[in-house]
Amino acid sequence: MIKITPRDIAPMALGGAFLATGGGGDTLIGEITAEAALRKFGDVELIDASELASHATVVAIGAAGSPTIMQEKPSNGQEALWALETLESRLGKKVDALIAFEAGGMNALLPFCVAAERKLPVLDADGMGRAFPELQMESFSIYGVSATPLAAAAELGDRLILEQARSPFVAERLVRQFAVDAGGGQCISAEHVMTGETVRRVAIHGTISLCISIGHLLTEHASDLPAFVSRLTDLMAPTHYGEVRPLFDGKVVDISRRVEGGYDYGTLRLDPFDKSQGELSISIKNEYMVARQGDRPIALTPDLICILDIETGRPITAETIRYGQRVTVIGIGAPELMRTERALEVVSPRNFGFEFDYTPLEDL
Amino acid sequence: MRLGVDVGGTHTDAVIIKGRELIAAHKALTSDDIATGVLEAVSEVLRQSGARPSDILMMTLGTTQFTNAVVERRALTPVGAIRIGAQSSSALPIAAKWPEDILAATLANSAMIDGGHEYDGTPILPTDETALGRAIQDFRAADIQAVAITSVFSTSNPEGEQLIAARLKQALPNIRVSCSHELGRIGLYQRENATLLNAALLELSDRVVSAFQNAFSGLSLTCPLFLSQNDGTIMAADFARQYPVFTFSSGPTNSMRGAAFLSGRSNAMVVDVGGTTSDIGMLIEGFPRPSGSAVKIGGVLTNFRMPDVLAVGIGGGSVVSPDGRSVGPQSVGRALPEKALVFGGDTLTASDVAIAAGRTVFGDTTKVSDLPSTACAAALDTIRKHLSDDIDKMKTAAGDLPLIVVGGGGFLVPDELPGISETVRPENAGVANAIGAAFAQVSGEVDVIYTRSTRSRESALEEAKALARERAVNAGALENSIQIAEIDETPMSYLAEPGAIIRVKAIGDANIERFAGGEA
Repeated sequence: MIKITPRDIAPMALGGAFLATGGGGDTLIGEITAEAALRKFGDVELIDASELASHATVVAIGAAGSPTIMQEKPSNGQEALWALETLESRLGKKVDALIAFEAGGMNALLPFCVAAERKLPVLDADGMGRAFPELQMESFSIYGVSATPLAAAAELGDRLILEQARSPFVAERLVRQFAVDAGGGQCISAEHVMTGETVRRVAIHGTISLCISIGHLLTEHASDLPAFVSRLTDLMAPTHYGEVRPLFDGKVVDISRRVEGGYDYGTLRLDPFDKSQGELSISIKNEYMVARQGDRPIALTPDLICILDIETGRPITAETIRYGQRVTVIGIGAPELMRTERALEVVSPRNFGFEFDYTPLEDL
Repeated sequence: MRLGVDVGGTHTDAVIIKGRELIAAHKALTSDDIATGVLEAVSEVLRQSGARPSDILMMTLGTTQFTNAVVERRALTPVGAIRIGAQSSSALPIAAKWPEDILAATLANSAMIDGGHEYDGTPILPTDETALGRAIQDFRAADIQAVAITSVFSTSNPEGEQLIAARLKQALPNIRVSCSHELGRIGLYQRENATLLNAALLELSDRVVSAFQNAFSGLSLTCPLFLSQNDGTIMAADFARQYPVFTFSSGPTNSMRGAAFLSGRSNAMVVDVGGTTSDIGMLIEGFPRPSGSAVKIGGVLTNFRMPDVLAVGIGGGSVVSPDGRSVGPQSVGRALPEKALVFGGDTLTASDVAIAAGRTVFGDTTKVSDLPSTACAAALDTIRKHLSDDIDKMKTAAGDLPLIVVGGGGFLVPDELPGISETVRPENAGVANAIGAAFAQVSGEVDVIYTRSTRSRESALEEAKALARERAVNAGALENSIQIAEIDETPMSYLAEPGAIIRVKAIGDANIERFAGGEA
């Protein structure tokens, strides 16, 4: 167990932005609200799943809806508590620990606000090990934990219990509709009720403390990214993630974009600094999904494709990346749980509309 | 004729232009009280040009006073903050993450009350009148002089902010009020920050604008006065009284606008080479490209329309290593006339190297005649490499563009650079900033959100255009000269239905007649 204090939040947000692979929304609002909550209610215990009793009750909690709306309506701080209490009264028992949907982006920070108020521990784990756009892409769903019963709450106190949905995809749609009707575009949902024993099996472990460590490393080596990559390799070696591989150093020379069905699609083209290398193209579907040199893929979802700005040493989101930015592209092998046959049924390149199968980074 | 003035940290520059012709220019030293230096520069250009005060049809002034007040935390009024929409936003504290010293100087009292709007402009809750009454009592008890009002999605519906502003003025007749919907775009945190800074500057802006108006009256200049804003446009002086934050960062913008005017190029890269740094930017249709990322003023994050300028550590005073491999970022700065070799000093500077290579002539050239030519070539090569990398970094698309070179150290920029079609070195580039101020137009900008179920994209776009025009007129634009300069659409992902933010900017000529006489 480690204590999370307000000072850990900024590095957690920075590391979370790195693992978000271009998605996950702007982490600033999450950072400010989590810092404020910890100052008000006290520190939060970050625990390893092994510290949980086998029969303990764990719930995943996070925001659903539009990140743009959250820029204007950063929440009243009670929605997560309401969602949690609603779920608890439906279950007829108190929750023992919380877990984040995703370690990438704003949702890595969200459980800490309600955990501080309720004096609940947060698990050093999440359901993606990165960011993905949909609920069924959480490892909890992939490994058979039902999203329902699910409770959602919005700013004016509207609370919803979703007893059952025929698929995680339908659950996702219903929660989004609630977000629009009750929360003007956003809500908090508490879902994927599971036991301590289950969470040990289905979650990606060590990811929250990993975010904090990555955040510190990035701050320390903001102006020397090769040093960052080398330290990151050491940091990630003992984790469930695969190889850390520097993929490319170059400049963004073209961006094309379109929006379809709430998704931000696009393609980046990057020119290498080292002219003996070929040009790199990266396909976007909210996150950086596929990196190719010519026809040769060099990193494919669910492996992580992380882009850092060489000038500032900060991760760049897919929404804000622009022509002329000098970037370092780093590939990271996805955590083992996201590379299994079952996981690849929902997070492989084909699930995002690409015409080829997944090959691990290490084999490319 | 038009008069342009730019008050910088060191120099106050004034110019008079007629059509596209520069009639007179003068550089004075910036005085501690600002007004004396301005008067000196203006009197001198009037004398040089032989113009009568009545020949000057409008004056534009660029000043860094308001930026400096925030950066140096002085002359700020302690503000009472009201946030409307507590039920949707109270997890985000007012003025979170501000540096402590500016927080202490700026925020005296704050209240969060229920109310606010959704992104489509419908009310979330009615404004909590009881809580508002309590806030007004608290402000009265604390003798608050200025109030910042920020409401959730006031960018979509300003009614909540307007109602509270009216109530405050009724209850506290001498109160100064800033409303967030007039200041910023979507993003509650950044917009509220801007509103707080603006409210804290209202008293100062009142004094400063009056001081300028009085000073110019003293010279019998009765034409309208405008102030430069950070996006390269100007606002009427009495508008600027209410919106001092719009003057932030107008210096680099004026310089780039002046470069466009002097060179006759409206799509180009610009490099302004000073003593310590070079500012690199890009002109699109005559205006500096705005920065995509957030801008901090005095440690406070805002979402202003700042020009995207890259400052690099290469200037005329940059210190050069003996082998020429390293140039800058250390600089002798303002001590160039004592420290550079050509002035008898002991420091090898970028200017010395350029003089030794015959790029320019000043000082005592014999002092650099025996510099090793390999070191000079290496230093010039280092400078060339830095500048070409940094200029390329600021371009938004592949393909060649002209490069406009301004500033006193322009001789450091080589004639040929990769990605540059031609290098343009306009005359009078030393007063480009004052020229940029004199030549500027007036703008208005607005954000409108739409989703498919609430209304059509066309009606949202029409509303945005109309609002942008209205704002340009309020800021001092001539109605029939207004054109829509920019339309930018940002899709909102993860909504249940398709939606987007439409941002429109309208630009027009200054309405000289409307402001003639009384106000200026």
